Amino acid sequence: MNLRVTPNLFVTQAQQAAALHTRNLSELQLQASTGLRLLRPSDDPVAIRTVLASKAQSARIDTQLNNIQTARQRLDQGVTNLLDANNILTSAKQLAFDGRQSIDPVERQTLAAQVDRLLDRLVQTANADESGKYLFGGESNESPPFELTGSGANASVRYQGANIRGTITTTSGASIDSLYTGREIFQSQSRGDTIVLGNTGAAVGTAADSGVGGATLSVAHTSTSFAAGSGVLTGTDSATGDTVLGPAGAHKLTIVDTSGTGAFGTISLDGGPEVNFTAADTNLLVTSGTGDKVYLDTTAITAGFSGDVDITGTGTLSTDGGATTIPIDFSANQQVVNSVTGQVTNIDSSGILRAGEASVEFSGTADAFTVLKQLREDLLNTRGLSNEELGDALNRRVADLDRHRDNILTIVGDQSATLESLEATQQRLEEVQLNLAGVISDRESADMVEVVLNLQNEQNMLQYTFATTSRLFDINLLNFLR
Amino acid sequence: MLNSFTAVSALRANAVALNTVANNIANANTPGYHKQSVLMTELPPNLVSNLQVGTGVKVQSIRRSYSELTERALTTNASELAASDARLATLNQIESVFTPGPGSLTDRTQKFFDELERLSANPGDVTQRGIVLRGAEALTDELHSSLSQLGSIKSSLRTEAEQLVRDLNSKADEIASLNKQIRIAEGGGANANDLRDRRDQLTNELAGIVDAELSTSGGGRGSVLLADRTLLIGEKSVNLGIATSPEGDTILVNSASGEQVSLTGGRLAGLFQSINEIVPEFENQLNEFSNGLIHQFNQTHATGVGASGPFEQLFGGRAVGDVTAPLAETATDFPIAAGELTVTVTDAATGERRNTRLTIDPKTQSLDDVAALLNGVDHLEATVNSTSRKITLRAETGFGFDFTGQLETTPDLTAVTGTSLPQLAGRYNGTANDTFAFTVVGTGNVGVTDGLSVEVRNGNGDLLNTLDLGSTYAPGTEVEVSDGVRVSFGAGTLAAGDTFDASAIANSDTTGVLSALGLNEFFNGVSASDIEVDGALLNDPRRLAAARSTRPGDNDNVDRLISLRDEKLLRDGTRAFEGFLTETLGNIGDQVRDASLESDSLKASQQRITAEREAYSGIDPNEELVDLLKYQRAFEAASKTLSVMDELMRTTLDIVR
Repeated sequence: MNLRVTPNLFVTQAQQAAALHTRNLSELQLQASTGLRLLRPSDDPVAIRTVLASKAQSARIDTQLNNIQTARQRLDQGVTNLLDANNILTSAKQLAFDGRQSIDPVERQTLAAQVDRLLDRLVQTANADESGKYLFGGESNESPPFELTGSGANASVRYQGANIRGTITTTSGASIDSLYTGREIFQSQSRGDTIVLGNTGAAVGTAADSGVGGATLSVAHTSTSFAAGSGVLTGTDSATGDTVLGPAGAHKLTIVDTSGTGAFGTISLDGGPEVNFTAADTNLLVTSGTGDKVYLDTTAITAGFSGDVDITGTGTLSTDGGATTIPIDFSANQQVVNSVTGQVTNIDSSGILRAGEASVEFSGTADAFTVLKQLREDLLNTRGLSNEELGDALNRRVADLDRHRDNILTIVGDQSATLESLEATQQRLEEVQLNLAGVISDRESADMVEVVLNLQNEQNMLQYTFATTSRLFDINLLNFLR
Repeated sequence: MLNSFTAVSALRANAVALNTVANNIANANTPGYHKQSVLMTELPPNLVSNLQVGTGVKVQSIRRSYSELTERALTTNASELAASDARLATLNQIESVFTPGPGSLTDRTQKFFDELERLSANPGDVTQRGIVLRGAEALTDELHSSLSQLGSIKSSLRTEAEQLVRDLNSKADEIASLNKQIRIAEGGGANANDLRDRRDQLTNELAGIVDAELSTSGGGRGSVLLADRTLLIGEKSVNLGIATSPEGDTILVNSASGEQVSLTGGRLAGLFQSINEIVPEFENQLNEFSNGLIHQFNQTHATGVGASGPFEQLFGGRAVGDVTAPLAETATDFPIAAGELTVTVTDAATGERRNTRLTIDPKTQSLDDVAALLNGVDHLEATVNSTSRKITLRAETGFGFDFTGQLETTPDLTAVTGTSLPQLAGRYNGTANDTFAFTVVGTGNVGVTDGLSVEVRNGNGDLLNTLDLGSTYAPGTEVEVSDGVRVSFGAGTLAAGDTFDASAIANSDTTGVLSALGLNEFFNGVSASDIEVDGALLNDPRRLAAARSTRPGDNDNVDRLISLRDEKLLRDGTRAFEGFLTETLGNIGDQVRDASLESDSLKASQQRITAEREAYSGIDPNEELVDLLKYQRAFEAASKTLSVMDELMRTTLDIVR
C-alpha cells in the first residue's frame, strides 16, 4: 500500500473501475438480450469446442433422421407392395385349386383368364415405386425393374434391374438396404428334382441342372438301320418320318414273306398291326401299336424270310429348338445346353425310344411370373397332359406359389425387422439429439437469473465507484483554508 | 550591524519555493510530470568579531521526485502492454472471421457433408447432386472470404505499423533534440527537470511503439535505447522504416543501414508478430484445410463415375514441373507414392470390362512414362502436352474407361483352353488390393465330370476356396469365392492347368496419381485462395461421381466421399475436417483468452506501477497547499524581518537627526 495517495490515483482508479464495470455491464446486457453466454470462441474456448461438436452432431443427426425417414418410407411401401404380391399369389393358388377340381374346359379357360389378370397385377406390383424410385430394382431404381412383353401364351417377364440392393446411409458408417432386388423377391429358387414329361423315353439325368422354370426337350430322329439278313431297307421318308429311336433291339420289325419269293408278305413294328408289302414298295409306312413309325423299302426282301429284325434308331437332343443339338448316346446322363441362355439340362437318354418333344420342368426354379404363366398353361392344358399329369402339374404350381409366398413373407419379415430397427435407431438418435440440445443449452445459453443478478451487481458497483469518487473529491484542503 | 541581505535571501528562496509549489499545482494533471521540490541551504556565514553570523538562505536546487526503478518498470510495462494489446486486437479480429454461426466456415462445411449424406439416399437425383455442388461452392466461397478477411487484417496491420514507424521517427527526433537541450541546459549545473520530464514522457510513449528504455549514458544526462538496446538515440536521431524480408516477412529496418531491427516489445512488436506469425498461422490452417479437402475429395472422386458411366476422354487439370523428370523429383500439386493404378476399359457394345493394373514408381517414372504405361492399355490413348505439361486420356471409339476398379465381368481367358465361360459377379469388399488366381484341377465337362474343380488362391498363394465343378455343380450358377466376389462357369470343358485371374481392387489408385494429375476432379486449386468446385461439374451435376457403376441407385462412391467426413486426414492423421475447424476455433478462443489475460495482467501491473509512481512523483494538491502555506508564512516572516530592520534603521537614523 502506498503511503502517498494523490488525486490522480483516485481518478485513474475511478476510470479503470468504471471502465471495468461498464464493460461487464455491456457483456451482461448482450447476454440478456441474446440469451446466449457463448457469442465468441474466447467466451469459453473449452465450451465452444463442445458446443460446436454437439451442434455439428445434432445437424448430422437431422440429416440421418431425414435419411432414416426416406428409408422407412421405402421399406413401408415395400412391405405394403410385398403383402399385395402375397395376396396375388394367394389368389392364384386358389385358382389352381379351383382348376384342379374343375373338369369343365370352359371354366378352366375362365380361371386362366383370371390368372392373366393376376400376372398383370403382379408385374405392376413388382414395378411399384416410392417418390419415383422403383422399390424392387436394387441399385437400378430409376426405371421399372420388370418388363412385361406379350400377353397370354406369349407373355414374358424380364428382369432388368440390378442384382445389388440399393442402400441408404443412416448413421455414421452404417447403411441399410432400402431397395431390394427384384431377383431375390420374385425370382428366388429352391431347386428341387427335375421332371421330364412326355413319351419319348427321355428321363432325368444324374448331374445337376441349371435350367430355370421349364424347357422343351426336342428329341429328333436322324437315321434308322436294320439288322442284316432280311433285305429290308429304309424308305425314302425314313430320315424325316421315322420316329423310332434306340439301340439295336429297342424296336423290332416282324417280316413274314408269304410269297416265299420276297414278292409280297406282311410287316409289323413292335408287334403292331401287320402291313402288307410288295417288292414294289419303296416308302412303306409301318406304325406300331404305340404310334411309332418307320418308312421301309421292301424291294429287296430276302426270299422266304420270315422273322424279327432288330432296328437301330439314332437321333439328337436339343433344348434350344434345334439351334444346337447333341447326338443321343443312350447313356445315363447327357448334358444338353441351351445355346441362348447357357442353361444346362441333364438327360438320361438310355430309355429314349421315339422322337418327339418332352416337357422339362426344373421344379423350384420358376420365378413368380413364370409360375403364373405355367399355371395359365396348365389350366388350358396346352401340353396335352393326362388328367393325372395335369393334377400333378397343378400341385407343382401350388407348391411353387407357396414357395414364392414364403420367400416374399420372409423378405417382408426382413424389411419389417429393418423397419423396427430403424425405428429404434430413430428413437435413439432423437434421444441423442435431445441430450445434445441439453448440452448445447447448458454450455451456450445464458442463465438469465444469474445474468440479471450480475447485471444488478455490476450496476451497484458502478454506482459505488461514482459515489466514492465524488465523495473523495469533496474532501479538499481548500474547504478549510480561509 | 544588521544584514538585510539575510532577509532578502529568505524572500528570494521562499519566492522560488512558492513558484515551485505553484508549478507543481499547475502541472498536477500534466502527463509525465514529476513533483518538484526546492532544496534550500544556508548561505556561508560572515565573521563578525570572531563570531560566525549567518547570512541567509539560498535555493541549492529544485529536485524532481524521480524513482528510476519505478520509471524503468513503467516503461517496460508500457512496452509489453502495447505489444500484448496489438496481439489481442489482431486475435479479436481473427476471432470474428471464424466465429461460428449461419454462413460461417464450420456451418458451410457441415452443410456440405450433410447434403452429401442426403445424396446417399438418392444418388441418381440430379437436383440433390446440384444441391451438393452448390453446398461445395458455398464452402469454397467462405474459404475465399475468410482468407480475404485475414488478408485485410494483415494489410490494415501493416498500414498501422507504417503510421507507427512515422510516429516513432518523429518522437525519436524530438528526443534527440531534447537530449541536446538538456546538455546545454545542464551545462551550467542546473537541473533541466522539465526537459527531462518531457523526455521521460516521450520515452514512455516510444515504449508504447517499440521496446525503449532510458540509458544513463551521455555523461549522466541520459539517452534512449531502442529495440533490444541495439539503437541509441543520443543527440542524433534514428530513422526507421518498414520493409519485406526475403522470406516475405514484414520487418523493421534501419533506413540508414538497411539492417533489420529486432523488437522485443511495443505495439510494433505486437503488430509484426501479428503480421508475420498470428495471421499467417490461421491462413495456413485455412490452406491446410482446403488442401486436404481438395486432395482427399479429388482422389476419391476420381475413382468413381458420373451418371453417364465410363469416360470417353479426360483432361488432366494439373501440370507437373517437368514431364520428363521422375515424378518424385518434379513439382506436383499433390504427392505421388509408389503403388498401383488400375484402369478399366469397357467395351460400350458388350459392356465387357477389362482391368489393367499399372505399377507406378515416382522415383523412376516421369509423366511421360506414366502416359506410356497408360498408352499400353488396349483401346486407351494417353498424351502429354509438353507445353501445358498436362495429360489427356482418350478411349477409342466404342470404348470407355474409368478408375473404379470394379470386377471384370469376364476375366482374361488367354490361359484357358476349355470352352466353359467363367463369369465374375459381386463387389469385392476386401480392404486391400488382391488378385484371385483360378486354376482348374482335372479335365472334363463342367457340371458333368466328377473330380473337376477350380482352386482359388489369393496374391500370396494362400488357398481361398476350391470350387467343385463336377456333376453336383449346375453350370452357370454363381458361387461365392471370397470377400463378396462370385464366379460362375458355363457349360463346356475345362482342362487341367487352365488358369485365369480376377483383379480384386479395394483401392484403384494407391499412388495418388489421379489427384496429382487432376483427372476427374471435384475441386480445382490447391489452397484456400484458389479452391473452386470444378466448372464441368457445376455445369453438369450428372458428372458428379456418386457411383462406381452406371446404376442410378449406386451410392458406393458417395458413401466413400461421406466416409472422408470422419476420417482423420488432417494434421498428420489426427483431425477430421470438421474437427479441424472446431479445433481451430478452440485455438483462437484459447489465444484470445490468453492474450486477454496477459493484457489484463499487464494492465494490473501498469496500475500498480502507476500507483507507485504517483506515490513517489505525483502531485497531491493538499500537500502542495500545505507547502504553499509554509512558504507563504516563511515569506511573510522574512518580510517582517525586513520591516523590523527597517524600523531599527529608522530608529538609528532618528538618533542621528
